[in-house]
Amino acid sequence: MKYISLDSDEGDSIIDDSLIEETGSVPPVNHPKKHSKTIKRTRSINLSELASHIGTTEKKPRHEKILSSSSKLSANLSIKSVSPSPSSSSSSPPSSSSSSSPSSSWVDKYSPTSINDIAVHPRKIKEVRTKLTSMLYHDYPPRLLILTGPSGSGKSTMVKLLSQELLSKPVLEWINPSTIKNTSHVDAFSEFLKAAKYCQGQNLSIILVEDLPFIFHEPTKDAFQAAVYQWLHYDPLTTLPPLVICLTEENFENDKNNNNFASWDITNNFSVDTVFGHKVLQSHGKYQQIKFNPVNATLMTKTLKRIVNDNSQLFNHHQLKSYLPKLVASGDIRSAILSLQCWGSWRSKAHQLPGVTDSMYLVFGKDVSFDLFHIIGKIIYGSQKVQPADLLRYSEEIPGNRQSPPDKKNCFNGLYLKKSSSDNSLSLKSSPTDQPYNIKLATNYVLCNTILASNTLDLRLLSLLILENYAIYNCSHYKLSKASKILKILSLVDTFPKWQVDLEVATDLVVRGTRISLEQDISKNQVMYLDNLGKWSLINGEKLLKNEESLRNDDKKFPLKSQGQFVNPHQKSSTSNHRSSNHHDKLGFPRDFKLMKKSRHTKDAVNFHRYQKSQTSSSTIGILSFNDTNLYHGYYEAVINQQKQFKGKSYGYIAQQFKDKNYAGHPPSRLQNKIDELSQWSTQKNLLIKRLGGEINSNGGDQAGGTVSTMMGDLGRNNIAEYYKNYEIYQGNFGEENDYSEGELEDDPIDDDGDDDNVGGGDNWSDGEMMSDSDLDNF
Amino acid sequence: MPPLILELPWVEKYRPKVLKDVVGNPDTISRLKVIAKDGNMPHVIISGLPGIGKTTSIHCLAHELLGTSYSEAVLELNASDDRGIDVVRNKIKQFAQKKVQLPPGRHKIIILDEADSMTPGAQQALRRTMEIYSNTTRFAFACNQSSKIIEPIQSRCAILRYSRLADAEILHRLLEVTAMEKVEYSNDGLQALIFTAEGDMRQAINNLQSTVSGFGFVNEQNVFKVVDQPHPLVIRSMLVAANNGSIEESIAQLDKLWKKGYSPIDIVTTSFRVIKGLVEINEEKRLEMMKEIGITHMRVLEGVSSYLQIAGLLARISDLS
Repeated sequence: MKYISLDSDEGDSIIDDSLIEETGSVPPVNHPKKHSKTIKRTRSINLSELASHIGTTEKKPRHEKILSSSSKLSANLSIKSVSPSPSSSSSSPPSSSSSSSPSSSWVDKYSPTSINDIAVHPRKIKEVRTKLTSMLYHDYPPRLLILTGPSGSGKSTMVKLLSQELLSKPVLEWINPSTIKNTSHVDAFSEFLKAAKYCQGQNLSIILVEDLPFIFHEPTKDAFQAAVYQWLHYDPLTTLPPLVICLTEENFENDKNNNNFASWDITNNFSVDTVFGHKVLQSHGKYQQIKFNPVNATLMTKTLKRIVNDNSQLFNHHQLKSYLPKLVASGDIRSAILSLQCWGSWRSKAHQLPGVTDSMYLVFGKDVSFDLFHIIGKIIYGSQKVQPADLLRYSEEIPGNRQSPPDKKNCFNGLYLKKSSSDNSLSLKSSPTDQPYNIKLATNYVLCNTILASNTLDLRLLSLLILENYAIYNCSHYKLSKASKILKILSLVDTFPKWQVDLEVATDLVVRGTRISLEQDISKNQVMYLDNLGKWSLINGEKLLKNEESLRNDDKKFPLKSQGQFVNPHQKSSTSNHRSSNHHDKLGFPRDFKLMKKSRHTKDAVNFHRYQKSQTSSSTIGILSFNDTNLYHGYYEAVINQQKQFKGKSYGYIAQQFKDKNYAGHPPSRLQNKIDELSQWSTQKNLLIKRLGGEINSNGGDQAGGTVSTMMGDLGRNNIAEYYKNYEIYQGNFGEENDYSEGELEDDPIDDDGDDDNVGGGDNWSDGEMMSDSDLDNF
Repeated sequence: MPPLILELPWVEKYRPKVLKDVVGNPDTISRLKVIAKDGNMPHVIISGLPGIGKTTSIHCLAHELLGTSYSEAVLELNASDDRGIDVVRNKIKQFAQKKVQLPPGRHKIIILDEADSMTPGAQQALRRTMEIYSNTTRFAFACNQSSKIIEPIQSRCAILRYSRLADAEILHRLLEVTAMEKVEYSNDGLQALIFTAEGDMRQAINNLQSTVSGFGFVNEQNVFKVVDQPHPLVIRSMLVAANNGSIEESIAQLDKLWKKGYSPIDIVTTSFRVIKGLVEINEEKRLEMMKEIGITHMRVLEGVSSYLQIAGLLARISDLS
């Protein structure tokens, strides 16, 4: 029997009127407000709940919340839990409910059920918990919490668990509706927020937005930003439920990035700045941002071990030992668990399937960088052994593994087809032992072929990695000419025109070139010796790659092995764990990357500046290209403006402190320090501006900043009364008092400046917002 | 009059129906076999070069998992379908919400072929959908580069990387097809097919069919006529001659190719592939030759595709020895 209806389980409980009507199925619960215009539905998922439902066909009561703003219900009634089942909303241990079901995915099955299980650093948990608690119960709290971080770092899971802990109920989550009849997609989110406002009192919930509206569409983005802005600036006396938005920041590599006229926008930079826009982010003190880091190795290993122990029948512990670190390296717990499950179930079944080799390097997760290092290691060190399967796979192509081909001229492919005498069919079966062949040559050849067969190679990255690491081979003790050969090849490949090059050719050249160059060196008999001057040299007069200074401390002639290797007593111990007889240094990451990162950072800063200009002023700067912005304003202006804005806020903050606590005339020493710092900064700023060729007039005047700096200049160090007066004037000029600062000096934003974990700005002092707004209006 | 029978492309006709027929990547395929047996398919991303069986293996997997309910429980969208935000929002979501009776451990499958051509926006819209409906619907992405898929989706998927097919694997399948189609062939013909396919099974079988329909007999000459590449044997003798220092002979071979109208880029790329297999020249020498070919390759790509460049290449090679 087949029928179409909505799926019965929790996962599918977002419904649309249209869909219900179209499919003609009757939802199991009545929707009292079904035909009201602005029915907003969302649903709450709780991961553990979800896990407990997996694989069960039993109909669960719909656990759905309907928000209706048009119903004009009183606030506490506007969210209606239709049929909440108390048992299902509590976090039952998932292992008991779903272990019977083979279909469950471990990611769900082992999703943490309590905040203590979550693989996030305890300090981060505490931070989020504190913020959420204050958002829930304090007066004038920040209204928005933005969580950013890489995928799989536990952002939304943590919010869901904290919701259980603090409110013992699931979060209210925004899910994009698939079809809405009466509202457009553009407005859907703001309608949702309008309705969510009433989640108070008994219905108090944490509102989670993970599935952002389609902000790649300009009007939707504007509507989204406007809705968030409105949320932040709703009447300050009203308390609003905490709104949490999770975001995975990402840069999209596209052609636009390399274009100087490209804008800083959402199509290439999915980040807090582009998603929320300038206006929202200026609302300091009203939102908080917490940045998550990739899950660290210890926590990840702990979690994975727990899962492994639970499924010990699937795993071979010896193999696991070498497999786990690979998973851990990704920092993405979801991907790691998924890979572990895939790997585990594959390993346990693999022996039942014919023709499966014992490959350890089959990784299912996203760990391209690991693969790459693995490949680089293979290219540079070579390999003592090759997978027998690979050897067999390429055996016919291996040079030397040939039974004197009948017609030598006819082989062009490296592939020889043999006609077996018994029948006329072709066969490729030949055991590698048919004829002895040069194992080393074969290994090398097969190695190159296996490397080239994997398609994960990014040529540019590969070249950079080789460039960084070629010298580690045998601790650089090989001929300079070999190194120059490698470099020649790398630079040749680098000059290939990138847009149309036959990548295969270039990659082949890099891989084979490096491998062959390095391999040959040790296969020749060479003797190195330390000459009287304390320098290493080769008998044939060729120089060694290794720079001599580092070897100068070895002042004795060492007995040298043939085969181009020599034994350095300092290295002997360190390489004892290395299987190979050669001594190698460690692989490193290309330093070019740092430069690229820095350059990208700078580019982003300038682009952001450009973007800000276009948002805040009606001048022509907005339409300037990247290059022009860079030329007219330079990188420094972006930095200066950032600082100015920031310090301006601090200034307002300190002034506020005086005002509140009536410190006039008696500044505590800590405040004094801040003032010193500020005046220092203003000198610094003037210096910088001078260096750039004076005050920049094109950016709409420096009025506010100017005021601050002149004020700071005039300010006698101890003349706090005057400072206070200045502040009054300043306030009179730029806005009315807005006095609900409750910040502590310890939380002064200046201290937060370099803090990686907390880049939100606007921490704990809500007063700065007023200042900065006026500050920026003048730009 | 007998009805005109249009033959299916062999690529389609001999597309594997079950996983065990899929050629190459034994380890990765074995993983899919385990899934086919156990059910509970995770979201997967299969990445790899064209013609190595990505889409085929997803289809096989879906067939083996779902059996007769394939037609109703699989939604396939490829690059030619509209995959904008509307499709993600409506078509995919509605399919995910659709109720299909399936045995436990089986899920509806949404196949997104050539997923790297989806915009980041559409992919973003997909990520939550994947999670919400994951207990009824699983996604399978096929793409050339897994890095083109956004992080949040990668994080939710098992990523399977397919590597290029080895020549022996292609030969194996070619022999099967020739046997079934009763094609007459010579060994050098198959060699030529494999050489020109460069690890792309689709190409190999297409070339086989073209050769058969064009000439009826698969031998070297016919294959190279069909694929229109310079004959590797000529290239080979050209390079060997240059390597031995007999530049006249080498140039004579080049003239032979030139008169047939092959462009320098054809000659250079084929040379590169020939030189890789030219094992009687020692490795160091071969590397030097590869480098020289690389330089010429670059110049040709820059637009200097003249006879002089190729002749210069041969001169440099003969100068090496």
